[in-house]
Amino acid sequence: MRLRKADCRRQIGKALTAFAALVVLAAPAHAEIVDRVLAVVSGDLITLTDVTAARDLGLVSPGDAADPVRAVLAQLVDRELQLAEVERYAPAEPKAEEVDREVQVVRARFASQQAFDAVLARSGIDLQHLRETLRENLRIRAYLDQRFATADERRQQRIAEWMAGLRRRADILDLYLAGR
Amino acid sequence: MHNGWRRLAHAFVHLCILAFLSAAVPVRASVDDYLGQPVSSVRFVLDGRDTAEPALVQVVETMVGRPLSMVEVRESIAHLFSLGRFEDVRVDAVAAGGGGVALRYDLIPVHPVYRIDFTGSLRQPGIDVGELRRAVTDRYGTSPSLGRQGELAQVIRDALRVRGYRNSVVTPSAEIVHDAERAILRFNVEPGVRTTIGEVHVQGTPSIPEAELLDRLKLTKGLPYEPDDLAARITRFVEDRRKQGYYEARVLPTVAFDDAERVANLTLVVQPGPRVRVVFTGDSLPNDRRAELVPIEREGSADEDLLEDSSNRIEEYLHEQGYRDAKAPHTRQATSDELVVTFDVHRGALYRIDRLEITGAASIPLSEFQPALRMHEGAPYAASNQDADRALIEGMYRLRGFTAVRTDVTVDPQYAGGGSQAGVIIHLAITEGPRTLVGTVRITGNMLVPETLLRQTLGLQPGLPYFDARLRGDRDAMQQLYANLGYRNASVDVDPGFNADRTEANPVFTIREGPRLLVDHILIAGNLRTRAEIIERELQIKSGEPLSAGAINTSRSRLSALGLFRRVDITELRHGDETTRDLLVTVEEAPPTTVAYGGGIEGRLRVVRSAADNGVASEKFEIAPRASFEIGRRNVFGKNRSVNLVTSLSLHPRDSPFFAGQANTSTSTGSFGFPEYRVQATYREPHLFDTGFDALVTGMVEQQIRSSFNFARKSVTAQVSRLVARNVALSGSYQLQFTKLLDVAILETDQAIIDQVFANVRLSSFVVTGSYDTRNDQVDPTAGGYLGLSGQVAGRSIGSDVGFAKSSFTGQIFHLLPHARATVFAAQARLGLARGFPRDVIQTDAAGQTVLDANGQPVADHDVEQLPEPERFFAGGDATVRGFALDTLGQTATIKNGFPIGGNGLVIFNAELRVPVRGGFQVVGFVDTGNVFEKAADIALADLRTAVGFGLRYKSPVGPLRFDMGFKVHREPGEGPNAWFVSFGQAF
Repeated sequence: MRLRKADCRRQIGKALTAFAALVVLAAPAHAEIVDRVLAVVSGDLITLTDVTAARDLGLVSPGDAADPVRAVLAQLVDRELQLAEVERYAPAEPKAEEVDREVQVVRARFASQQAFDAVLARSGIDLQHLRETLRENLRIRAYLDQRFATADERRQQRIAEWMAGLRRRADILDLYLAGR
Repeated sequence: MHNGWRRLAHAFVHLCILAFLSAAVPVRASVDDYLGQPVSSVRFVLDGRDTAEPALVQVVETMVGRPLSMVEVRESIAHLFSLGRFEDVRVDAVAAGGGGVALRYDLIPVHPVYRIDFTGSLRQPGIDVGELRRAVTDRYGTSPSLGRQGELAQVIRDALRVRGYRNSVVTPSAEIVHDAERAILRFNVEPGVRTTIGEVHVQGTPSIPEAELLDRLKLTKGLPYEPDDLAARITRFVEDRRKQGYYEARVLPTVAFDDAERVANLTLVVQPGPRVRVVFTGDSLPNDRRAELVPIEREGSADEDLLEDSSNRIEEYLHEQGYRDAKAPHTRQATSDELVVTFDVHRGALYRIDRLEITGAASIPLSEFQPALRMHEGAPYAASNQDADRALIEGMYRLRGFTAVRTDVTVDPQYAGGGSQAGVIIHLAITEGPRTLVGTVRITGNMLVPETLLRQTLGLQPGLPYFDARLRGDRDAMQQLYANLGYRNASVDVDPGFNADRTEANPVFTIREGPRLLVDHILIAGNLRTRAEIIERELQIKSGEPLSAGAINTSRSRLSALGLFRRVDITELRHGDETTRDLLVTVEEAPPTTVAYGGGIEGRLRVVRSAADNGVASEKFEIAPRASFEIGRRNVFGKNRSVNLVTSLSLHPRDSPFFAGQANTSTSTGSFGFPEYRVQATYREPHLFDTGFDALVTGMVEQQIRSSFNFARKSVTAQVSRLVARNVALSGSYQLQFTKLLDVAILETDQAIIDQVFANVRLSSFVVTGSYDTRNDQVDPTAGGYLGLSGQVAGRSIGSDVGFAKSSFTGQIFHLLPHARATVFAAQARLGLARGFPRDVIQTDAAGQTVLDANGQPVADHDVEQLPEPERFFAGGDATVRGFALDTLGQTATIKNGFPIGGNGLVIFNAELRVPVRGGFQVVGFVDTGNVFEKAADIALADLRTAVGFGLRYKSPVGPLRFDMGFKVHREPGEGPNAWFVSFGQAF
């Protein structure tokens, strides 16, 4: 049987279209950066997942910053600096019940246990890690209350001055700032 | 036809659109899409190139086949980063076929900066590239991180600002050298316009003409404005004024910039202040205390507060001396150009303690604490002594459980009619209060650490006296125990739990343990040549163990003690789970090859046979230059093995009596040679066969000078040693040595038969040594002690020509004398005992032929118990009994016709006082006593010979240089009165 020219062209057109579709389907997926180092504070790393964990769990708020990663990272850098001071002076250990209460506060931010677990998994932390993070937060808070006992408006100013001093003396390598 | 082409074109357009879409819209996924997917592959891309380096693969947690976990990704990033090799680590994920996920670790290596370059307008005046470089390297080292380019640029801008370039532009850039993974850091410097000095206004009245002031401060219009230099000149000017008595002189500069900071207009506010003169009237004060008591010059002020404080300080000072009523009021008298401050010192009477009464001491006898009191009858009365004594008494009571003890002091002055002396009666009334004993000790809050373990730290025990300091010590010990078990944040609160009448304390320790920190991974970085196993062997902490502070400190000390590293850091890395820490052990290796060399002069007195006097023994002093050279290679094969070659030699003129072949004095020939030398090669293998023993193999070739002979020796020694406790070392060795006697000065008739027959002797022996060493310095100790014991057995059954047993004991102590300005008392005792194993010796003649008797049989000496001469003990010389020339101390049986032949018994005692003087010099006074005995059984302390003397030491960078001169206490006929020596190191 002999095909007509028009049929032949139609077949060629279909074949080309099918080939193009295959090319599209076979196109490689784009590699996703799942984690990276964003900053190193006195030897301690702050990673991309640290930032997402802090943000998604509501531990740190980026506010309405134009660059939310930058905003969260800056707060995590400050937290590391404070933690180093806390380690030096070792304030009283928080009670287990206090830590439990903090965990419940974080858990309550999520509509379901599944959503909460998903955020933990995505951030690369488990419940124990979260507990320890919250425990450290309580120790920082206790330290600040002990060191800056005054409740007046001078407290924030004094903390800000203290933090500025810590930042000046600290060894901070900001890779996010470097844009790499 | 047309229709067909149209369709074809249509299809082509479809194709283009699809192709465009495929390029423009990549297939994106989120982390959630990958979580739980099996990892299908893990790639490592190092600076753009794939790598499968085992050191990287080993520290990554994401394994092929396991579901992707972000926890493991985080851990892996932390481990990789901790290696210190990467400045950035990123992890990419991409969907792989079959539902898996392919991971890629993108590693950006740290590129150590090996060169810092400056480009741009560097020829501008005042710009010194060296200065800019120093500004960078002083703060960030010679190899700063490329990530700090911004900070470095700011440092350079600051350095340029100091030179007057206030608006410089510094642009950093890095050139990566990929083949060596290094970088050149480059700063392009555009300094801009330099700020110059504009108008200068002086406010106030300088004490010198204004032109002179500006000249001294180099403030001339048009000169560059360099703020730091100006501040330094102002400081110098003010200091100079203060030296001239203008203690309140001030110069305060303010600057206002103009013309876009091109011009700096300065205003100097000058306060010359009055010339201050301090006058002391009345009773005298020591000159060297005046500036301290009245610190006007140091403080740069003569204000009323400072003067008031000065008056008080003078009075307190005099009160401490016993002048209880001392007064030192001051007055200020200002004239037009001078302020005269006068301190009118009135010491008043010197109060001495007439009587010291102590009452109320029922539980502690007065004899226990009264001798330690500062206050005693006849001593000047001082309030500080009174406070110190009160604290001492109360402290002793508290130690015995009297927690509420109180001491009241009453001072009753006994006036002596206005005279210069007065008395006081001191009454110390002790109120002991109840004695508190420990009832029960409770520990609460410990969930994970057993109480039995915690109780081991307690000093407070039921029934014992309660003591506050012990309670605090127990709390600290408990906290330390927790820290060593990994409970870094454990807190221990303590309540003494007194009962109502304080007769019983029931302390309660309340513990909050906090989380226990465990070691997750131990990462080792920086070991380029050293194998990781060598480092791991010294670590006292392992993966999975508690993060013990003590174990980390010990590990750090042990690694440093290896001597392989310039620097050892062990840092904790916080990551992932907050209850675990990685430990990063970073080492900086020391150069593998060490070279050392030195030189000096040694001088000593030796016995020689005088050619001019029929071969009679006489003493001759000679100074010989010495040199040494050492080369070593450590960490051979990366296993801390080491090889060393040490050589030393001394130079003597060929006609020297110290020179081989010149055992007597002769005329000079004018040339030089090396009669004394040593070449020693060692190989050290620590932890032999993975045991606690170190092995050392030594080969040596040497030639040494003694007084009545020289010898040449070749030896090989194999030794194993072990440090069995912190200061206790044991070793055992086998030694094979060949010794040849040279230049024997002793008459053949005086020579031991063993030396005649075995002028070349082979010795095969085993040696055992033990030592206990607590000296604080091996070269020049000032504290501690040393005990050494050694035993040596040589036997014909193990290949020795001669058999003997020899032992020696050395004991040393070093002690800093209290209140004696670093004066060290040093003492040493040495005992040597030897005995030869009996054997028959066939006699030989001078030609070495066997001597035959009348029957043609060899003549033999039976039961000879002598040791070869180089193995016998000698005394006299710079390290034994100074005052006697080398080896010349002995008795009739050990010195033949003036030439020492040594003995089998040795006793030496030395004592020294080492007193530091100025500039690294030390003077020494010493007493040495000792002697050499023919047999060990002959040792008698009554036969010891004594020398006293003095010496001088100079603490050079290579150790003490020494000169000693000793004098015999009792001279025997024919002996010189003294001997002197020049050498290195302390005598012992």
